[in-house]
Amino acid sequence: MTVDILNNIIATTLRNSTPLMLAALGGVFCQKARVFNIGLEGIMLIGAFSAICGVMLSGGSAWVGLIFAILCGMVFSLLFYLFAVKLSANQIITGIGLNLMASGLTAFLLRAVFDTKGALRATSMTALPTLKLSFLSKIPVIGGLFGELQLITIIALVMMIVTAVILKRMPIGAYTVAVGEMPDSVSTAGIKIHRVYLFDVLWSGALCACAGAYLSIVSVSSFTEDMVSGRGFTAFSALIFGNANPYAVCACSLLFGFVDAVGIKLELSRAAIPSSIIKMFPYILTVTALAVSCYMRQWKENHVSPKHR
Amino acid sequence: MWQNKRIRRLKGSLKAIGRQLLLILLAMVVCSLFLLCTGYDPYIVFKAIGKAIASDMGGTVRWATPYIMTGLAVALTFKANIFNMGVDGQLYLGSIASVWLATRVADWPSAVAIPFIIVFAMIVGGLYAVIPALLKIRLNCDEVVTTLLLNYVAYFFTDYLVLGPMLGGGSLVAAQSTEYIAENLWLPKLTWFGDSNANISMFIALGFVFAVAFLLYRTKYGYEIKICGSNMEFARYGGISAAKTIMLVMVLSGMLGGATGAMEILGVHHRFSYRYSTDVGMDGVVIALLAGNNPFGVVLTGFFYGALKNGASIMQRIADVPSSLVDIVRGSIVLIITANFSLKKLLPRLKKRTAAKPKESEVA
Repeated sequence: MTVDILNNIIATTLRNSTPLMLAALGGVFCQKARVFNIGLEGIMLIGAFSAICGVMLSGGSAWVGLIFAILCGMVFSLLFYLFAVKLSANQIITGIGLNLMASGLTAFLLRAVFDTKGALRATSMTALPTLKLSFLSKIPVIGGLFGELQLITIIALVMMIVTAVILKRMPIGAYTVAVGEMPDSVSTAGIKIHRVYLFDVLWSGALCACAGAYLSIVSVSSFTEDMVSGRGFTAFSALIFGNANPYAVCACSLLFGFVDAVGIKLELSRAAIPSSIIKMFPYILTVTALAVSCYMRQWKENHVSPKHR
Repeated sequence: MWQNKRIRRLKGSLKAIGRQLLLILLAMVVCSLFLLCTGYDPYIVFKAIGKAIASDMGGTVRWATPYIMTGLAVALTFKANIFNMGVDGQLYLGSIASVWLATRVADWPSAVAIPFIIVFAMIVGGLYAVIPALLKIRLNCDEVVTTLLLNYVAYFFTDYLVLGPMLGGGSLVAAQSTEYIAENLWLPKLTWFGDSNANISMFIALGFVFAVAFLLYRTKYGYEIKICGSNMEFARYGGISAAKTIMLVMVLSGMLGGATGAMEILGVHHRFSYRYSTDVGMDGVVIALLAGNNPFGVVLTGFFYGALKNGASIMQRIADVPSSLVDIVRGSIVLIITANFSLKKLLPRLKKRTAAKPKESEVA
């Protein structure tokens, strides 16, 4: 019985945290380059909508939906690049603007193009393949983890490694970190910093759109107005909590997903601890982690002599 | 001399208002083009706003009130170059605090109880803003991130209270909300607009506008806030404590957020429903921006936003245009304003560009 519950929670955790993981990984490069991209939420919404559009246009292929979503997300994130980088507008305000735009645009197009209110359901769709690792699911306790993995979950895990590799091993990763630290010196070194920013923003667009596509074509196979409902900001929190380290960011996304899963379970079982209190915890933890990391930075600045810096 | 100064100031404010109107107009034209492409009536946004002001002023005033308050709250922090993105959280805590207190002072005379409740909500909102302010001052944590995160803490905390200890009984409609507060604590409605939710909290909001304007333009604190906002180093050199100023604006901003919550509860909703308010604080950021952080400008843009919000439902009714169109208008307004600011910054650089080689390093 308890094993069943555990497996259930693990499966729900994975389901919940896949979009968070993807979106948060998308934000990693922006965060490293010190570009505050709170437009993650809006890009996810655009991704969710265009994924369903792609499915409808192609007559039911989830793959086309996914690719169309990624393209649309990248185009939409170009808006962020245009305003926040090219026109050096305030990044936070641009992010708010993008979120508003996305929620208005998707809801409007839903009515104007598809003539439906509220929800758009793809009538026929060949779903993305799921991976059944039957031999692993026989493992008594953690079997639930591997019972049935969604393809996008695996993409998210692969992306975690890809992000880490790009960040640590590829020039563009090094440029991104350098741009975040000292844009002027990078520019002096002869690197086109706008291109670095462009890469960072496009990366966030692609991955956030992928996260949105997961929401609309994998978890429910329909698009509803404002279906992202704050997940972009949760992903942003995970990104902050994980200090923009790809592995830590994924772990934090898992934590957020886990807390959500436990919350759902508690709601169903009418336990003594209210689920809202549980759901509050990761945010408090994130604030605490942020405070601690700020404290450490300050401590280092005060205690390391300038010689050793 | 004295008169000259006055004329110059008048000219300046007229220019600012003109610029605002131009930007709004531009955003609406963008939307009209969008509508034209999708085959709707391109003038519908203009019509809806006209109708919202002409025939349903009450609804416009009802929405303008919280918008003016949150706009004011954000504008105050913007003056010191601090971002308070947590107005939504402060608003939620202020609302729940006012409901909590309202059940306890229900038998007091309303002339005493109502101000008491509003002040209590302000204290709660202000205290909640102390956390990000302290983190900013002591540890130099980014206040944008902390306030955003603390919003969620406030949301979930109020969720817990509404679904748990403070859940009201009764019909299905009341399923996810507290009990109604006592009727003698409801703010009186403004009747001259006909039947609407407009209430006297409008005047309370205007009172706050004057108070903030007085603080900003007529006291030494206002001067310190302005100096801190424009040049932190200079402020420090002049002996102004940045920490004190940050604390001051954040707490005042939180108090305004809390007061907004109390006014929404006492004036319109009369009970706290699960996640009843959506993004009024985020809109406050846009309103403050549009108003150029001027308290009186906030009144104008707050009214415009109220008309837009109210016009959205009218639009859907009269022309079957989705009310979400308004979100597109709002989004394009935001983007156009930010672009406008940066264009102003860019223009001298572009001029220089003709003379010297371009420098690519100046990014946000």
